[in-house]
Amino acid sequence: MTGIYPMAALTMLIGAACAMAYLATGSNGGRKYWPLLLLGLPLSFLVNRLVKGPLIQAVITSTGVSPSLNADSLLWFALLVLMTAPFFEELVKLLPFVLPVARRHLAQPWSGLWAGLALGMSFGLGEAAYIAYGISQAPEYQSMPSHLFTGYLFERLMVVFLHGFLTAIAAAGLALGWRRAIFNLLVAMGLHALANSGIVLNHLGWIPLAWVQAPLLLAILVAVLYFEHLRRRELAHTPSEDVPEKVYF
Amino acid sequence: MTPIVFKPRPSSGWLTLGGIGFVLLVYSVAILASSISANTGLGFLWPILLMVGIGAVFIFIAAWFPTMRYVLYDDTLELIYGPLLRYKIPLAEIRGMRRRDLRMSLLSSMRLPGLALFEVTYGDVGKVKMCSTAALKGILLIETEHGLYGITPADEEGLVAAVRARTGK
Repeated sequence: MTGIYPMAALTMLIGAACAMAYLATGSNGGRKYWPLLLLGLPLSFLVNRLVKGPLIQAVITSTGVSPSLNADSLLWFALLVLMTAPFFEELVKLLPFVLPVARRHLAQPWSGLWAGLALGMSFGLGEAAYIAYGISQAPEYQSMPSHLFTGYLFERLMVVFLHGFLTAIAAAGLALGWRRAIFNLLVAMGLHALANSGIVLNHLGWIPLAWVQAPLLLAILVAVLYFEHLRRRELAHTPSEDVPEKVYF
Repeated sequence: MTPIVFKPRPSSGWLTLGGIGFVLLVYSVAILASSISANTGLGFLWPILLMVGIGAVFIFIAAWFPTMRYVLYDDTLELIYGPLLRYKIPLAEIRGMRRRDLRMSLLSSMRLPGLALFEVTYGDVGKVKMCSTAALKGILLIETEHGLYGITPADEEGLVAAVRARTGK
C-alpha cells in the first residue's frame, strides 16, 4: 500500500469532522444537514471519469492539439482546461438537489446556503479520495511514506471548504429565481476558475512555481467573504430554530 | 459594599491555547534544527521566527488563563483577563442579561474551544466583547448602551442576582 492512503484517510476524517462541526455550530439547526455530507462523495469520481476526461480527450483527438500544457500550448486549449472543472464540477455539485432529501432544503429563500455548503464539502471529501487514488497510481509515489504527504493534507482540507463555499454560493440562489440562480452559479464558477488558475498559468510559463497557490488562497478569501455576506442575508430571512435562551431581565 | 469576585466556569481553554503555542514552537525549532544540521542555509528564517513569535504569544495568553474573573463593584462590573483585557461596564448602562448559545462566524477573532477573548463576531448576534471560558455554548450576554459583552460565570445566578440588587432591575 502506498503512503498516500493513510494520509487520505486522515484528511477525510479531519475534513468530515470539521464539516460536521461547522454545520452544527454555524447554521440554524445544523445537524439536519449532516446526511447531505454523504450525497456528494461519488460525484468527483463520476464527473472526472464520465465527463471531464472524455471531453478533453475528444477535443485532443478531433483537433490534434498537444495534450500537455506548456508555454507552446494554444490559448484556447489552456482556457478549455481551465474552465472544464469549474463549469462541470459546479453543475454536478448541485445535482443532489433533484433528490427530495436535498430538495426540501430549498423550500425557503436562502435556505439552500447551508445545504449547498454540506454538498460542496461532501464533493471535496470525495475528490480527496479520488486524487489519492490518482497519486497511488504514479510510480514515483509508490514508496513515499505517509508523513511526506502533509502538503496533500493541508491543500485538500482547504479545498474541501472551498468546494463547500462555492456550492453554498451557487445553491443560495436556487430558491431566489432564475436570474439570481444563474448569477450565483457564475460567481461560483469564476471563483473556482481563479482557484485553479495558478497551476495552469505556471504550466504556460506565465507565473513562477512559488506563486501557484496564491490564486487558490485569494479564491478562498473572496469565497469566505461572499459566503459571510450571503449568510447574513440568510439569517435575516430565516426564523431561529431551537436556540435555548434564558432571559434574566 | 465590598467588591464581589466571580470566577468563570472551568474549561480546558488554556490547554487549547497553550497546545497550539507549544506545537508551533516545537515545529519551528525542529525545522530550524534540521536545517542547521543539514547545512541548508537560513534563507527562510523569517517565517520560522514569525511562527516562534506567534507560538510565544499563544503561550503568553494561556499563562494568564487562571486570572480570568468578573469583579462586581457598587457601580461597575469589571471583566478581567490578567493584564491583557479589562472591560469596565457601568451598571447603569446595563439594559439586560440573557444566557444563550451563539452561532459561529468564519471571521477571524480570538475564539478557540474553551476560550473567547476581546471582540468576537458571531453569526447571529454580531460583535460581542468576550471574556469567557466558552466560545459558543451557554454564554451570558450583557446588553449595554455600547454593545454586547459575553461572560461565563460559574455562579451565573449569583452574579445576575447581585447585579439586579445593585441596579434595582
